[in-house]
Amino acid sequence: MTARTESAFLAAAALVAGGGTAVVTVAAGEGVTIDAPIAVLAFLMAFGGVLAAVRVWAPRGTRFLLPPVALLAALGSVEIFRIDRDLGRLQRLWLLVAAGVAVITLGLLRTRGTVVLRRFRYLFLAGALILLLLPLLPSGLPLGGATVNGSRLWVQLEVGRRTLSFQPGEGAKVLLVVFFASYLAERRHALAALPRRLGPVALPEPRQLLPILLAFGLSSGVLVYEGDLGASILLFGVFVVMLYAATERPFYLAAGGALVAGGAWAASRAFGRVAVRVEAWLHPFEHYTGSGYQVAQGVFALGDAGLLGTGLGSGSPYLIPAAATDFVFVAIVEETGLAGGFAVLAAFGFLLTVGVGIALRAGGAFRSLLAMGLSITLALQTVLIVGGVLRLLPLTGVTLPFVSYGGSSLLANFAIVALLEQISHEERA
Amino acid sequence: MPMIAVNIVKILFAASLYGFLFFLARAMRAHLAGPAPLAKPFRDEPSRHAGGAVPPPSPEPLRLEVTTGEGAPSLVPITDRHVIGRGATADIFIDDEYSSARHAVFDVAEGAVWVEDLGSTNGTTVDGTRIIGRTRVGVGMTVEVGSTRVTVR
Repeated sequence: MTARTESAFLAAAALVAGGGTAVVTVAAGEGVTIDAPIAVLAFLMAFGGVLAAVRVWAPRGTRFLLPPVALLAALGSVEIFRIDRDLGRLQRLWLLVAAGVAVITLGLLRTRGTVVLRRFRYLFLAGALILLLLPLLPSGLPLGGATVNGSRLWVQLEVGRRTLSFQPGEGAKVLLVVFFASYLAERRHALAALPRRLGPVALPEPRQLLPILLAFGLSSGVLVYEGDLGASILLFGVFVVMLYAATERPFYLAAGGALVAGGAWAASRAFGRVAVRVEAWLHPFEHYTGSGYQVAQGVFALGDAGLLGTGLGSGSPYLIPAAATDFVFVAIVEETGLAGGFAVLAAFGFLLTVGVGIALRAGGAFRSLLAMGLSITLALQTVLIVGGVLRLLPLTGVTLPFVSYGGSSLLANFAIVALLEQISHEERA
Repeated sequence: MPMIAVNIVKILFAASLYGFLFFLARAMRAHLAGPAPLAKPFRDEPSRHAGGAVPPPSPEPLRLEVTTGEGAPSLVPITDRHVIGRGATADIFIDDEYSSARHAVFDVAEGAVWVEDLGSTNGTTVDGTRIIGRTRVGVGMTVEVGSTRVTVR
């Protein structure tokens, strides 16, 4: 793909965002408003900026990463704008800020490359832990935690009379993947050795199990103290997959799976909110007036969709609680149908293919594991939330990367894009 | 909006999404099948799919066999100036803690490979002798860059 083709894809995504926005306003009887050209402009600025930074600072980076990201962001921004005009305008602003984060990340790594991140790994670990603990700060302080829908994930910072809210867990996710990659790149040979035997099963030295148990403990802590099932499963899942990628030992997948199964069983017994989630997943209509309402509304919306959906702006996705965040996939399917839903999944398929390709071609274990971990983070998040809203899995409140409304999420995911481009730039023949 | 207009818009929107995905898939397929279009000379091997379309290179290009650590050696056709090192700006990237970011530069002249150290910390040797200035490396000779061995083939 040439530079011109890549720019053409990004421009096409900007037109999808603008065209979709125009369809939404026309369907609402407002005619074509100023929002459509502003959406095109915001996309051209955001992705043009990232593209320029990649071409200047990481010129050998892959050209296949930004187009699917731009398509996902375009679909998301149209549907968010359709659900809530103000959120849609804010999301455009966040898109520009997130692009700025990607540009800064690329600029910081331009001379010394991603390898320099290894040097700061314990700083990243400490940073991630602090970010994860921030929401537990008491509410009411200038910088304090906040409980939203029973999960303590948010931090509110009071600046003058305004309150800025953010989810520090999104940043912690990226920092932890960098730490895991650096740690596993160094310890993978020790972890891959399975010197003990128990019948036909080869086992590692017991002390080599410490990292996986620590990761499990950390994830459980997130669940117990912050009530966040999604982040908990995401953190542990990413760690187990990276451990498997680093050691090529299926033993760790089995051990991780057993820990998840045991932990899930214990959590559904011990914590009311997990049991409620499972119940709402299995029997949404029996709890229609209560915990099952959201899932049931999602199912109604899906049932309304058909092949091409109700048409942008002609459905009623705003009836689903959290339509712009957790249920954005369902909102897209309701209005653009099975066709739109598959297009979203295909774009994620491209994204994962490109990410894993970068991991396979990367020079050295650290870069390879980092690219793998970042790609798996995006993929696992997608599976968790799409599976959750389609009733294949219990609903967990993670965002759909690049699509859901949310500043923290966009910022973190654009940092992932920048890191993947940089690793791709550093790949060897 | 009238129903017919809604339906036309729906089909157009879905078509634009799938058009995007189709052209992306096509570009990716072309990228995987064809010769690497990027300015990365050492990856520019003639395509195996091209049949007789690609003329046989003449004369036989010189190649560098790069071996880092216990990994399998990689063959790098050398056509021009190639900087080797562990920095992001090196043309031949090596994951070698003992090499410098831009360690040495290889080039082709008079049918032979030449190497020059770029002021690296640990220096560059040709068949065990530390080099000063631009040095000729014959076929079969080995250059050491950090703990990486580069043999001319």
